[in-house]
This record gives sequence, structure tokens and C-alpha cells, in this order.
Amino acid sequence: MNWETIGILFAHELRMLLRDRRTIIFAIVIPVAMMPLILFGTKSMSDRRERQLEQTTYRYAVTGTEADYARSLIREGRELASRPGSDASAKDDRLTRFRLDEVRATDARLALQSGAIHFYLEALSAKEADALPEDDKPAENRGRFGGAPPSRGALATEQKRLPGVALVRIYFKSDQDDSMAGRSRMDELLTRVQRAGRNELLARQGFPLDSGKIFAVESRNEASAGQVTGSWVGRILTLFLLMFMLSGGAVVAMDIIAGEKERGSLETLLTTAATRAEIVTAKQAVILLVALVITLIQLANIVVYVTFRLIKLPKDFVIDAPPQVVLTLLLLFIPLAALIASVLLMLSAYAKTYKEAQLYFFPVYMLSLLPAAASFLPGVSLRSAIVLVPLANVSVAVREIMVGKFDWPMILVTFAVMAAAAVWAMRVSAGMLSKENLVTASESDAADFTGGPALFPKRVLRWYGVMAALMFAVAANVPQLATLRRQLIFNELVLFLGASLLMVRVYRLNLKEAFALRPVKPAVWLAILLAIPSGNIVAVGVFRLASLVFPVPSQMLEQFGKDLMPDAVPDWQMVLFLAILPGICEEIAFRGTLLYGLRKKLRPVPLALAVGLIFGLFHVALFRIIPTGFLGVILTAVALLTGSIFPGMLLHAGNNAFGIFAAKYDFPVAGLDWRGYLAAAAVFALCFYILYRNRTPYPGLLRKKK
Amino acid sequence: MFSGADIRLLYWRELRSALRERNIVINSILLPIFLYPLLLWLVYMGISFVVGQTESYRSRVMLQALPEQHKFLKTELQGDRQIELKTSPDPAAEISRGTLDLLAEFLPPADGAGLAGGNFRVRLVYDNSKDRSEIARGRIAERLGRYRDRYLETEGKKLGLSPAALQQYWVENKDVATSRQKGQFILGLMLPLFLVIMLCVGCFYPAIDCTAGEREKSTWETLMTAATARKNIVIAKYLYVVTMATLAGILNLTAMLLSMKSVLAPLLGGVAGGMSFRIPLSAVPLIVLVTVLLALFVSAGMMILASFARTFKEGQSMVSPFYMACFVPVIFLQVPGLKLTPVLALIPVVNVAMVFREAISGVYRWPLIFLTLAVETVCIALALWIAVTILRYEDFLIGSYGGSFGKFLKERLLGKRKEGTK
Amino acid sequence: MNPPVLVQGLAKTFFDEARGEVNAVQGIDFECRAGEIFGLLGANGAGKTTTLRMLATILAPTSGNAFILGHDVVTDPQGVRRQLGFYSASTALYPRLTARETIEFFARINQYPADKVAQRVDFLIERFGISQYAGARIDKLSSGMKQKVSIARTVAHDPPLLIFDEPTVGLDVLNAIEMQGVIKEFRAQGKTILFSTHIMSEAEKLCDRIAIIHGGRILACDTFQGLRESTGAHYLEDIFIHYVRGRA
Repeated sequence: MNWETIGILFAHELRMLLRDRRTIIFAIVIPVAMMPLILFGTKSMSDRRERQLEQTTYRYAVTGTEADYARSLIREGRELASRPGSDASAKDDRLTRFRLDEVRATDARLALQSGAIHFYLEALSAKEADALPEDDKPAENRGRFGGAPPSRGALATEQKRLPGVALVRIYFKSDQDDSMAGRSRMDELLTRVQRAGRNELLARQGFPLDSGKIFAVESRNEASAGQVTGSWVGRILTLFLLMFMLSGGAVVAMDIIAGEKERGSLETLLTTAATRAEIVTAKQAVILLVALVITLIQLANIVVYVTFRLIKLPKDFVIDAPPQVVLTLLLLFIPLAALIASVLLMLSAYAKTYKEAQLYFFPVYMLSLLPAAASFLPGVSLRSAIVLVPLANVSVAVREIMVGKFDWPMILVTFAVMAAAAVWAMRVSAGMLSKENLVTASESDAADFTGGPALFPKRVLRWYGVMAALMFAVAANVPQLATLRRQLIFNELVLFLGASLLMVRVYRLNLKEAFALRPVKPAVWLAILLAIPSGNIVAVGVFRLASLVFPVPSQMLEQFGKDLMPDAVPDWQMVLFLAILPGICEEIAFRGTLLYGLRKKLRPVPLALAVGLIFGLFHVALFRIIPTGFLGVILTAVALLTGSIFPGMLLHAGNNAFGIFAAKYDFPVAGLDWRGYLAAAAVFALCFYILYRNRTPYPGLLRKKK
Repeated sequence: MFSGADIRLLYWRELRSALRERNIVINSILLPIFLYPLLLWLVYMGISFVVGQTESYRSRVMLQALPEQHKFLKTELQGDRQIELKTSPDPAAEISRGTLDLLAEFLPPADGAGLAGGNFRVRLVYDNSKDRSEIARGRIAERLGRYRDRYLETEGKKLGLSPAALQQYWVENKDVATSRQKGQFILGLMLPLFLVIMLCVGCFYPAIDCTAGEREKSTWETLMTAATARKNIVIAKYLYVVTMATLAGILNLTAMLLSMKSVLAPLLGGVAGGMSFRIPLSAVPLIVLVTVLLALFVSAGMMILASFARTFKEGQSMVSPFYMACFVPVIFLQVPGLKLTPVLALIPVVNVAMVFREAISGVYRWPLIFLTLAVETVCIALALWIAVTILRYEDFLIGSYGGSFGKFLKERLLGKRKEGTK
Repeated sequence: MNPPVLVQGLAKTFFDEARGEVNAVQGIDFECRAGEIFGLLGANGAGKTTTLRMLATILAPTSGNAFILGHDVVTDPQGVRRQLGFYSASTALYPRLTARETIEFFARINQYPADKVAQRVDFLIERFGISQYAGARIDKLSSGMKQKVSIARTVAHDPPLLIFDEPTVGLDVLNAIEMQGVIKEFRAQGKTILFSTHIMSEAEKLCDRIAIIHGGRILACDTFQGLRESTGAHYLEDIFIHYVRGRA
């Protein structure tokens, strides 16, 4: 590498960029101007609304046989609110400013619907409340995900209404924010009165204490303000930096190679004495510089917002950043910036035009943000498998560093992983500049021109992308397919089988070849029959291993089981819908057309992994992806060894059927110890040995060049 | 001379080309349809992963100096699947290191707070910078709360106070908003902003592609030699951009409406199940009308600005400020309780968003709606007048003008050179 | 009877920020006879393209008149364009249309009778040998294929007058020869062709009459033989230099 050449190229790129004033304005001035505008605007509107709600006089009505009792409670509540509490809290403060005005209404419900009042109370006596029909009785306070009810106050008696207790209902409208605000304040007021009343009752009966003083709980936080701030900032820092760097770098990256291809100046550059690596290094340096400058400008922007209080910071916000923290962060952010620049350059090198580069940018942007959100996961430590995942490792490391935890070996591993990833991306970019069809945008593939079977390998993944999107879109939007069974039928017959047949027709494929409809040797069937139970047990073992890394919420698992196998369904239907149908349709889709389409793009092992992974992804739920992906790899391997789809069909259907009966008749598959799984694995390996000995390889595979 | 046949022919050509352009198809059509189910999947995966992770944690807790009378508390905690009781010689250090999540220090009660059955104070020592510690604090506080509950009920009974007497009364909140009204409230907050953004996104590429993009591809001159009036070409392009913008806006709205429940359900828990996300049929004509007006205005604005560009990239830079000026004000409207006022009715785009929002809830303030329609019409007319004025200038028409809209405004419309080169 | 192309005192002035007023064409006069190939020969910047663009109604003349088959370029531009097929290196094709769609579009937009469009399109596809890729998108075609489609779309509406502005620029030898052959064929069909070039050999081969244009003025206009006799030079290159240097 000639650094002088790189310097010349770098200066040349920078000069062209600085002369593109419009791009600079677009990249820097607009975001800088927009952000404070948006923040200020939304904050003003929100504050304005809050003030309006504070100043509102809430009109309400009181109905019911115990209306006078309700009124006395309200009076008492207002008196209590006007007396300062022993610990003045925001709530007390809010209640002192709560303005109320009772309105006499003949039909309170109508008055509420028409907006004449904000809410109304209905006070029922204990007898009336007890006599309410079941479906009209007050429900327990349930948590968001159906978990344990949150403690509303100090007592279990605050979890549900007990028989013989009067009922006060507050009727409101959740589609009106002033109605909701009024209800919330009234609820607080009545709860306060209730608590005060309880303490008085207890005191009158000789109970020596205010209930608030029984088993009083206080908390002491050992973390310093700096650590708490560090934890908060550490969570978001990597994500924000990534967002700024990606959007900032993209401004120049999209044009730096893709735009040059379009203009024809890339070819000119490639005919100079500079090597591909030097060209790529210079371009990357420009992207890096622009990304860093824009990031710094955005960070400075944030400091301004904070200074002018456009962003509200939590109390005790203290950034504790000694030099050691700053330097360690820099150590991690440098390879992060280099990787971002490399990825953007790779995008630009891959795309044929500026517009195409922009099209690829959005998914890359979203996909990059996902691993960076790893810092939000509770309890994730850098000293785990996450250290090997680029972006996620930096995110977690930053969070740990910001709370003062320096796990040096893991920090160095993170640096090494990120640096290696950046170098790899740069090498790929350099390699791309040598590919003829990427360099000259006007070149077209013969396959694009002639269409037919030659075009199918280029298009196959798009088809499966559309199928996946359709699967989600239809499931989410078509109420008629709301039941699992109907969804299954739609997915199997329409999506998998239907799309496969459509692909055969559109690309004029040979049906027998595309679906691998070939006979196999008799011994293969024996192997498959043995593989059915052993494979199922091994898959369950894989699932158990996977749930150590990706634990499944128990609720989700139970619900899935109930949906998949409702009680009243006869066995033959379950076998048909859950075993035979997927065994045929999914095999045709994945080991048929997908495998056929990708057979010349990847060598056998990566091919099996890719087809298996795609098969797994189609099973949607996170906890199913790994075990079904594993099954997918096995089925693909079977197809590759036998050259036929039929053994896979039997294995797939048999595996599913075995699973159904195991669940229904409680075979102890999920509860085996490691020896059981090991034994099953051994039998499974034997099956594969038999397949290998009786193999008829899948024709037309990509082989290693000798 | 206006020729309907020529306009139709040119329009269909533009549309056909556009529907074969990957960027346009993805941004204007596919993204609205498939984005929301994808979001649904991502959110669902994320939440289930986090819930699964949290559920599986056992909080490592140490109890220090628990009074003998309350040893039942310890037994209860030992049987709790989510709690693991530990001991440590230096709990504070272990909490800092992260090997212990919480220390529950049982202290004597405050002065005057003694109980026959033995009262205590609990100090929960934890580390707020660690998630597991924070989770442990919540769990132990909740268990202590329940323990207190049972204690008070027992003591209350001994004093002759039934739990019912202690409860006195029960406060229940009853939401009388119908499922439709609840849904409309949420729709009213989200849909107008989505409509404006997606309409602008749907318009962005076609507007630039059919003006600056044509110059870049050198097909502009080819079209100029066609035996049809220039006006017909411009009208056809305009109608095409309006079509794409309206299509994107309507498709997006429809996709959003259809998948709203599924997208929001994981976030709102069981509440979303009781909501109906439907727009009243009576509002549909008004919504379609304001959508079309918005599309007419945004398309005209973007096309005018993009016409000054010679390349697609330049076009993007020129149109982006207008694009942001359209949707940024609508972001400020994301406050519940906001109503359409005469002032808001005078602001283009914002007025449309507010009319839409109120129409979703079945609120029709007709004078202000008419004012909105009038303002939008005036804005469209102004944009078209600017377009017609610009087209009189030959250097602009043949693409040799090298400045921006601002420069053109300064020089030609406001400056000394009133006429273009003839 | 008026000639198909009649130009009288045609002039065009541009305003350029850097250079000020630029007189690209300074009052030129010429006419094209029916069925001939009339060549405009000049160096880059001579005013050929500006002249042709005025005749094609892309630019409006600053002064002077031009009539195309009786239609005034200023007052009846649409009428002019209906009678005219314009081909230039800068008139590109729509990348996302197929070859067939492109030809059909231009036939229709140039008012070719709707009931005969399909037949015309098939004829042109056959004539120019583009059957094999008639259904392929323009952006997938090679430059040679694009050239053929471009010529086909120029004559899609069978105009009596054709203007070719430097049609062989950027073409390889074989494609350039093919282009020349096509132009001759159009002449044989009775079309009038106005043809600009800076390549002497091309002008020699194709043109019935040649106008030498330089600095926005026509310096000479005659048959090749006539120009030889006037200047005493044998090769067109020498004739060109004689007029250009003489004027200078």
C-alpha cells in the first residue's frame, strides 16, 4: 500500500465532496436545524397541554343510592389535600390544584357522552354491589402480561372488592384526555381518603399504628449517581452514535462508488496506477471522516439541547467520565466507526446506481440498530457469547464501562472482533471493485435477458422474501384466517405449494428436477424410519439447549401448545394438518424449489445451513427458529445425500407425527437426561451413516474447484 | 392545446415505467404493506425475549437479622421460584460486583412503632445501575407488601375488624368509551402523521424521477420532440405523481388500520383486544378528499423543486427541505386533546391532518373544514401558477438552467429579468 | 411549391452567466428539397445542434422564420413535430419500457392512426431486426440494440422529414455504417433528411447537398461537386478549411 497514493486519492475525494455544497447543507444543516425545532415544538405543545389540564375545572356528577356518601368522601378528600402530607409528593401537589365542580345531571351517562361533564361517580351500597351480575362485578387489578397484580397500595384488600363493601364507580371516557385526567385525580383523592379512613379505624380499635408504619420498606441505592447515570447513558450511547454515524456516513457513501459507476468516472479511476485496496482505503477514510464530523456536530447539538433544557434530564444526572473511561470508550468506538464506514462502502460498491445504494441503506440501517440494542437487555454480560457479535459486543461493553466495570480481556476481544469485521468488510469492498458486472453499471447478465430457468437462481430468494412477508401480512390482517388450523392450510397449500408451482411455471422449470422427484435406494427408507424417533428426540434436546440462551416465556409456550393441539380434535386430523400436509408442502417449497434455486450458489455444507436457516425463519417465533432450523438442516442434508425429496417428506411428516403423539400420550421426551439425548444422537448418526453409504448425490451442486 | 388522449397516453407511460422501478415500487407500495407486519414480528420477538429472560432470573437475595417471629417470611421466600436466598460475609461488596442482587436488612422499627407481634423496618440495599438488582428490589418489595397484607388482615380480625370493614369502599374505574371510540382515539393520534409522512415518501421518488431523473437519463429531450403540447406532458407527469402519492397514502392507511390491533397488542397488553380500529364510513369521503388535496399540493411542490435539478441526487437535496417542512409541523400535533382552530385551519398540511384527525372521531366542524379546503385549494393554485410561470422560461424547459428554485425566484420572478431568454 | 424545410434569417441568442450574450446562430438561410439528404457540416460549437433544435421546436428562435412542410416552427410547433422525426445522441430511450412498448408509445404520441399502430410496430420490429428482444427492457440492451430501437422510434409515425443530429457519434465502425445505410434507405423511401455531422467522410458519402456552418453562419451551401468547383479543392476537408479559414 502506497500511503502517498492514498493521500492523493483522499484529498481528491474530499475536494469533490466539499464542492458539493448542496450535499453538505443537506447532511449537516438540516438535521442540526430540525432536531431542536422538533424537540422544542413537541415539548411546548406537551407542556401547554399539561398546563391546560392543570387549569381545567373538572365537571362531574354524582349518582346512585349512596350519592351523599360519595359527596362526603370527596369533601373529606379535598380537606385532606389542603393539609400538607408528611412527605410532600407530586401526587399531593396535584391534588391541591385539583379543581372540581359538581353538576346536577338528569342523565349522567348522556352528559358524559356529550362532553357536558368530564366524568361521573356512581355510589352503590354494599348490598347493591353484592347483587351485581357476575359480568358486571369489579375485576381484579391484573398486570400487563397477565402476571401478578401490581400492589396498588399496602393491602391485599386493595387488590379486589370484598363482599359487603360499598362500591364507588368512576365513569370516564378513555378517548378524551381531560376525562382521563379527571378520573385519575378523583381516583387518587378517593384512595387517599380510603387509606386515611383505614388508619383511623385501626386506631379506634386500639391498633397502635398507622398501617404505613407496619413493616415499613425503605430502599438504599449503593450505586453512585455517576454509576446510575452511566448505566442509563451506557444503554443508549452506542445506539445513538451508530445512528449518527450511519446517517452521516451515508450522505457521502452512497455516491462514493455507486454514483461514480453511474457517472462513468469509476472506470477512469480503475485505470490509474492506484491499486483497488488503495482506492478503497481512501474512500473509506473519507466516509469515516464525514461520519465522525457529523457525529460530533450532533453530539454538540445534544449538549445545546440539554443546556437550553429542551431535553429533560433525570434528577441526579451526573456523568462520571474519568480519563480511563474516555480512553476505553475511544478504543471501542474507533473500530466501530471503521466498521460502519466499511459497511457503507460495501453497500456502495455492491449497488449499480446511487438510487440502488439508497435502497439497500434502509434495511442495513435497521439491521445495524438491532444488535446495538443489546445494551437494553437485562442482565446481559460482556463475558458471554455476545462478545463475538459485532456491534452487540460494543453496546454491552460500553454499558459496563460506564458503570465502572472494566473486563479487560473481554474489552480486548471486543476490539479484536470489531477490527476484524472492519477489515473483512474493506476486503470485500476491494474485491467488489474487481467484479466486472459491478464495475460497469450498464453490463447486464445474459440471464436477465433470456429469462427462464437461467434467471431462477437470481430470483429465488426474492420469492421467498415475498412469501415470508405475505405470511405475516395475511396472518395479521385477514380475520378469517385467525385460527391456527386455517392459517396452516393457507400457509401450506397457498403459500408453499402454490408458490412453488408458480415458480415452476414462471421460470419454465423442469418439474421433476425442481422438486427432486427421484427414486432412492431401498436402504434409505430403513434409515429414515430409524431417524424419525431419534431425530425428534435430538431436536427436543436442541430446543432445550437453545432455551438456555433464548428462554421462552412460559405463558407463550403454554399458549402455543394449546393453539397447536386443542383438546377436541381427533388424531387423524392432527396427523393430517400437522404432519402430512407440512411434510409434503414444506418439503416441496424448501427441499424442492429453494434447494434447486440455490444449488449452484453455495457449496453443499453452506447450502444445507442456508436452506435450514430459511426454513427455521419461516417458523416465526424466536423459540421455534432454532429447533426447526436444525430440523431444516437435517432435511436438506438428507435431500443432498439422496438426491430426492421423498425421504425428507417421510422424515418430516414422521417427525411431526411422533411429536404429536409424544405430547398427547406423554412420552417423556422433554424430560430425558443427557444420556437419553446422547443415545438418540448416536442412533441418528447411524441413520446418516446408512444414508451416506447408500447415497445418490443431488445433481448439479457447486463443487470446490480443484 | 389540451388533449385528453395525449395526456392519458403520457400518464400511462409514466405509470408503467414507475411500476417497474424498484425504488418506487418498494417505497411507495411494498413498504406500507409489509412494514407493519415486520414491525409486529420484531416487537413481538423483542418483548417475548425480554420477558423470557426476566422470568428466568432467580434474584439472589440475602436476609439479614430477620426477627424470629417472622421466620415464616423466610420459609415463603425459600419456596419462591424467582428468589434464591444466599449468605455473604460482605454483601455490599458483592452487590457492587454483581454476584449478589439485594440485601434485605431487617432493622428495629422507628420509635413508637412497636407491635405486639413484632414490627420491623426493612432496608433494601441494592444497586440501581444493575438491572438484576433493580428487578430483585421490585420482587422483594412486592413479597413484603403481601406479607404485610396478610398480617394486617389477621390482626384486623383479632380486633373485630373484618377485611370488609377495613376496606370501607371499593373504587372502580369504568371506561364508557366504546371500543370504537377508544380505537378512534389512538387512530386520531397516529394516522394523520402517518398519512402525511407516507404520502410525502410516496411522492418523493416519482416527483424527482420524472423531472430530474428524466434529465439525467437524457429522455427529457426525446419527450420534448413528441407531437404533443408541452402542457400535456406536464399535466400527465403531475397526474402521475399525484397518483403515486395518493396510492402510497391510502395503501399505508389501509395497511396500518388492518394491522393496528396486532401491532399494538404486545405493547398494550389485553387492552388492545377491546379496541376497534375502524374509521366511520361517513368520514371516508372527506378523508379521501383531503388526501387527494394533500397529494395535489405536495406533488406540485416537490415537482417544482425537483425540476431545477439535473440529477436524481441533486433533486433529492432540493426536495428534502420541502419534504421535512411538510411533516415536521404535524409531529407537533401529537398531543391528545388538540382541536382544529381557525389558526390551524390556515396552515397547509397541518389543517388537513387536523381535519383527518377529527373526522376519524366523527367530529365535523364544517366552517373550519371549508376553510381548510379553501386554503389547500389556494396553495395548489399557487403552486400550479409557479409551475406555469417557470415553464415559460426556455432555459428551464430544456434543462440548461443551472440554479436552484431560490435563485430562480430571486432572478426571474422578483428580480430585474422578468422574461426568460427568447 | 414550398420546399419541405425553409429557413429564413433564423437566429438564436443565449444568455450565459459566464460569457454573457452568446449568438449561437446568426441569421441563417437555407432550404431542403424534397427527398434529399441535406447535410449541415461544422465543427463543435458551430451552431448545428442549435439550428436543428430550433427546427425540431425544442428551442424557440430569437428571430427569423422556419417552416417545416408549411408549418411555422414558432406558431405551430405541434404541427411541425407531427411531420418530423428527430434523432440525436442526447435523445435517449426510457430504460424501463420494452423495445416494443417504446416504438408503440412514440407512434401513438406522434398521432399515427391508432388502428394502424400495431401493424406499424410489427413492421418496424421486423425491418430493424429487433424481434429477438422486442420484449426486453431497454436497460438490458446493448448500445447497438438501443441504436436500432432509437431509429425505429424516430420513424414510428412514418414522418416525411427526418432530422439526424450527429447520429453516428459514439458508434463503432459497423454500427456507423449500418446507420448510414438506414439513412440512405429513408431517402430511397422519399423522405427528406436533414443531417448534421462533423465527420467529413460521412458528409461526402451521404449528402446530396452540404451547408458548411461555422460561428453560427452558413458559409457555403451546394452539392459536393459544386463546392469542389467553387473552391478548387478536391476533398471536403480542404473545402471546409478553405471556407472556415477564409472567413477568419
